[in-house]
Amino acid sequence: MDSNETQIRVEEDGPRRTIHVNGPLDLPNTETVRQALLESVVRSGDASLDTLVGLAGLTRIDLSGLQLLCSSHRTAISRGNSLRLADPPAWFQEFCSAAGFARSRSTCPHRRGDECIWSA
Amino acid sequence: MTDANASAYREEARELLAELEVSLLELEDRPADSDLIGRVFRALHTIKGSGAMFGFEAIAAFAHEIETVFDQVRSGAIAATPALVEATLAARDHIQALLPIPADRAAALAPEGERVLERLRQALPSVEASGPSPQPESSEPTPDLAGESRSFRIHFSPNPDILLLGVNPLLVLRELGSLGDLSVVAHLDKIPMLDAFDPEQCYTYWDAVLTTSAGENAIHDGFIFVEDCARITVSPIAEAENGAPRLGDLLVSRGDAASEDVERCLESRPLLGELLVEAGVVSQDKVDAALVEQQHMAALREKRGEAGPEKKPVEAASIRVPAAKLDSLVNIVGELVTVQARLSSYALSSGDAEVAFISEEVERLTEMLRENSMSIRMLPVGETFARFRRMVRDLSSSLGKRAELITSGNDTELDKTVIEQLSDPLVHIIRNAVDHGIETPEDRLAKGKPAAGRIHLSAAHAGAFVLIRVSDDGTGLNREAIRARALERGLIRPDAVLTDDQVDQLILAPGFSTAARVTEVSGRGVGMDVVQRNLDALRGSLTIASAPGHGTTVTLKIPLTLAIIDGLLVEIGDARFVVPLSHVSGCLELSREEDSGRQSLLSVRGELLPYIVLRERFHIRGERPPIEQVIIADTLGGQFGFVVDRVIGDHHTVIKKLGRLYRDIDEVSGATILGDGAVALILDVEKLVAAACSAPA
Repeated sequence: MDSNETQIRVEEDGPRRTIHVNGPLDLPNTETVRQALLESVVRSGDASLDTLVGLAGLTRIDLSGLQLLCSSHRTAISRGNSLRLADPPAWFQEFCSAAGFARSRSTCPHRRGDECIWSA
Repeated sequence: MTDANASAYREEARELLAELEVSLLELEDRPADSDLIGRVFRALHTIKGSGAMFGFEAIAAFAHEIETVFDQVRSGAIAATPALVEATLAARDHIQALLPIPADRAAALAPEGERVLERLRQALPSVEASGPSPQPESSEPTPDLAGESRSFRIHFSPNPDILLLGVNPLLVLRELGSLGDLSVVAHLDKIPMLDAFDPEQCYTYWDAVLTTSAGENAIHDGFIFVEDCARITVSPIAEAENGAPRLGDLLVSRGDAASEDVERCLESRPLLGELLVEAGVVSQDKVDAALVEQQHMAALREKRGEAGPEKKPVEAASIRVPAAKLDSLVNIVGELVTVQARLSSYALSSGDAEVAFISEEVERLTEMLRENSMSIRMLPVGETFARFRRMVRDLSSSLGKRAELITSGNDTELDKTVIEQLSDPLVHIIRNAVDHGIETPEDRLAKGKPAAGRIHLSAAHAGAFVLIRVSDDGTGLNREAIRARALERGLIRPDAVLTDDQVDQLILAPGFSTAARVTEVSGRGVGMDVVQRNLDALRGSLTIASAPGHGTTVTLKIPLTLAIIDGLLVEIGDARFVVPLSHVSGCLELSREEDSGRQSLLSVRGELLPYIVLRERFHIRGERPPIEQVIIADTLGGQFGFVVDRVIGDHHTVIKKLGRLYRDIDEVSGATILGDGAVALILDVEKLVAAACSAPA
């Protein structure tokens, strides 16, 4: 497997769908992941789908990838679904914080209540 | 580099060198004091950083070497041994020597600098002598002059296509983070839904707060590769913006409310940010960004608070002004005082009530302006005192003695001109104390005294004067030797009967010295007479008191200011004189019947008051009026009366120097211009009394 290419694996468990991202989530690969997320969040047609983005295999991420996760989250909640990040690697929190993405209060104008994908 | 910048650096560096010297001397006594070590390090660091900034490369490079050593002391790797402190003091002196030299000629002192550094390397304990340490990298952020960090509000909004250009905005944030303490918040409100999402677009923009000792230019440098494809603003944050305490905190600290109650009420009400968002005033992301800035600044203040008072930001409560501007201000105020006196004089003679009213107002304002401008010139004597610690240390060491200087009254203020002229007399007196006063440790122990002698330098206010005392606990004056030497020099007759006090004052005679040997320090017969001359120039006086075996105290009585004094204007015939009000204790009338003629004695409340008839003293023509006025003056020799025709009243006296023709007249210390343009001479009361006492009966 090319270490610069992201592999997507989708797992379904009832109303929960887990999209495992293995490899980098960066500019060259963001579109691939977007298609997978779009399929799950928008096209599934299931109104109460719970999407998990599995990040255990994430090797790196850039601004494009961070923006994609944010976009996916607000798209999901705007459709009455949920989307959460699962098993992020140890460096992930610090990286997001340095980029200004990790805060307890979201700058997202579409948030619902205090729910925020970047909440610790 | 402009001359103004170089001058500002030199001035600041001199202050830092003075601080460095004081800290190093204290470090000798408390070598493990981390606060002192920190002060030494910070002084060196600022001298280096500012030196590099203002083009004093030789100083910056030299100070870097010393700073590197003290960085090791700070980290505990090496100890601040006496040898290291001694070598650092020498290094400090070398920086002082470099300071006035233009940058292009500093190389001439490089060999001496290398010798000083070699001495420093040899003084390093438990560390092998090493070569010069690496120079600081050019990319090191240059600290500002005060060494203080500042906070900046940064807005970074990249163009949407920035990712396509191969630029990573997150690297810019990382670069900013390397400059200091960075709080950053990403604004995500422009990120679209997934179906409209373009991975190659940048939807995010940032607000950040950066606290850094690097300047604003360093921040702009961080954006150098993105400035064409982003909107960037950098603005300094005034810390006062966050300085006002919150109402809840005030109520708790005043004891009006319990903190739990305040907290409970705060929790039950909507937050201001929520209210503003709800009212549609601002969006949530703007509130969040402001909150991040608030938290950043609060954390910064807390951090500075923990670092101790020295770390607190310097309040802009004082400014540095060239001394020449102050002199000019006082000269102008002096002219104003003179013109105001003319106005008062005219108002009085015109009989016009309106003019009199205006004149009084002008007088009141002039008085306030005079007091204010004089107070600006006042400086604490402590800085001058601090310089003598090093001198006492070095002198006593070179003479094989042990002595310490203790100072008190460091906050006592004196006119800056007086302070400048005070330094030389004090050098002489303190040198004499160490050389002639303090005994060797062996002699002191044999006399039951502590091995180390003490010299106490103190300052205190006494009316319009400041008393400066130099006391030592040494051997005291040898009156037999003084008397013998005075006889030898023909200063006294062999049959002269002198009190102890009169013998002590003999050492003020020109060229007087009892020293058996001429040392590097003193004993050349110049000294106390030079002190006396300097004090005359300051219109001050000097007294000596000595207790054989117990020490000597030299007291200098110095006027607070040399520029404008309060005086009593008097008239004799057509001539007018000013008696300094600081000497005047009263006035009374003298009729012909009370005049005792040649005896010149007057009975005042049962006491005999000697007096001088100034008309006779100054050979002023004309008859004495039937009733005259006697000014009672306090002098070193007790109370004395001065007979004048008439007392005109008090007078703010702007002191003007006398011309060359009058310079040798001892009884007159200066002149002033009166409201009507006439000149009045200012009397030197002490000299008048001394001359009258020594005149043949």
